Amino acid sequence: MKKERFEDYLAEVEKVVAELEEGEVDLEKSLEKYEAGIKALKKCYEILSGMEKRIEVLTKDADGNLAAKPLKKNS
Amino acid sequence: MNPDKNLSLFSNGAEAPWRPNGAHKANTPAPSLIPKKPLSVSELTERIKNCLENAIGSVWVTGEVSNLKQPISGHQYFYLKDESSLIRCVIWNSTRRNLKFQIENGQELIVQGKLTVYKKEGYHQIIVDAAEPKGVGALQVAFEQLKRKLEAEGLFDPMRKKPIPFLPGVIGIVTSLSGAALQDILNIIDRRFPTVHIIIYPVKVQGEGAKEEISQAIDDFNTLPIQPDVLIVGRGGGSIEDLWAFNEEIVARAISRSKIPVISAVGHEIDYTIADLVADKRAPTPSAAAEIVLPVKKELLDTLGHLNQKLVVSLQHRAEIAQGKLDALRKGFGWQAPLNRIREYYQRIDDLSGKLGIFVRQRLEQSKLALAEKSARLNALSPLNILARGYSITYTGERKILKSVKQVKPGNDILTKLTDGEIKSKIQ
Repeated sequence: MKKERFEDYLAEVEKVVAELEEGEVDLEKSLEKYEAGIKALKKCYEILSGMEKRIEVLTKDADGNLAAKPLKKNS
Repeated sequence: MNPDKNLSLFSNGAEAPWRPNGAHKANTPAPSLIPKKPLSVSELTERIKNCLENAIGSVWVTGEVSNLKQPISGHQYFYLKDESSLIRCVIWNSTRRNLKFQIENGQELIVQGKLTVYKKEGYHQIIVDAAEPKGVGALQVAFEQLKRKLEAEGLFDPMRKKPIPFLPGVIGIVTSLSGAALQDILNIIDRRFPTVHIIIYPVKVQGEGAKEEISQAIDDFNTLPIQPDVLIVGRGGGSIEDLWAFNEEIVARAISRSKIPVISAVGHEIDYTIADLVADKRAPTPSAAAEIVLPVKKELLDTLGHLNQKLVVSLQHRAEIAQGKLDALRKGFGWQAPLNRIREYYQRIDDLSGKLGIFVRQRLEQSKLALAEKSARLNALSPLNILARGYSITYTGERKILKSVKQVKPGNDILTKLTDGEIKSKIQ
């Protein structure tokens, strides 16, 4: 499954804006594009709000397995 | 073979009658001078060997490398020469492996070693214990050599460079846990875009084992179940020796084979390492890497706000253009139809923008006002007036406006509307 990328949605919004600003597409299409633009814009906001702060440190055990632990603040 | 014997070559004059000596008479019969027991070649060579090794022993010597040979044994044989002389040198595999750089023909070298005699062939040579390129440091030469090698393999090719994601969700950092570099990176990320997932892989960044740990960390990141979208590999400033791990081939290869894009962040602006050349992106410092890797969240939100605004404005503008095209629509659909459609569109925009907050709604209010104003202007015109000026509208049998000859075929019925009535016709 491909990861949803912020920049792809951002590019889509920018593309829609450019197309609408050019005014070449007919009205019906414009509305479809507008809807698509709004949808992509919402995705951008969703991705941003879905990100959270997490700082981890990887450690390797004797068997060579990697485990992530939160970074200690004083280190 | 004969350790008790005094082996000094010239210490025993009586036993060295072959030595050139002006006192000898040229016509003295030679046989009387032949000793009873001449030296064997081996004995003589052994004397030479001991004499040279004792008298000269360990030396520093400088010259130009030529005739370099490296058989499968891994030992290297070459000449050091200057304008008028040359001397053979050999460097054993074990010594060679510890050199930072590769010996090459034409190189000006300073070597330290022991002068010995190779008895089998009867020549003297230097067994090299250490070597340094003359003038430039060994590290600089090593850097140039590795750079040349990797460049020839195409590892610095811009086409190989992977794009750095615009907004990585997960960032992997390969550096020392205690270094200033990590603190710099974390501080700047916190300022620009705090809500991000950072995974730190602590490694030694200098000294014994550093290059292995760094390259292992890059490889390990590439096998994690949750892979970072981008890696930052680096350390803070230091001497060329401190930064050396980032000039090692093993690190360069790990960066090169990483499927995750790598940003190198080694030392200061002026420090260029092999890692920088192989990396998908070079950051001049660790702090700069943090700036490259993430946008500023606030700016991003501003951009989204602007785009939101532009979307609405451009649609509004689009509606205004549509208004201009109403002339054409008006001919076919009776007067109210186009306006109704426009109103319908605006209602749909309303629905959509309901989800987008006050700003959008305000914009739409404005655009509705503009539309009302324009439609008032349009009301002054009537399609009938246009027909009265001599224009007509022609419909196909399906009551579609005839805009192209492609819409009809011979035998089709068409209907033409004029100001005072309709004409039915058949296409010939």
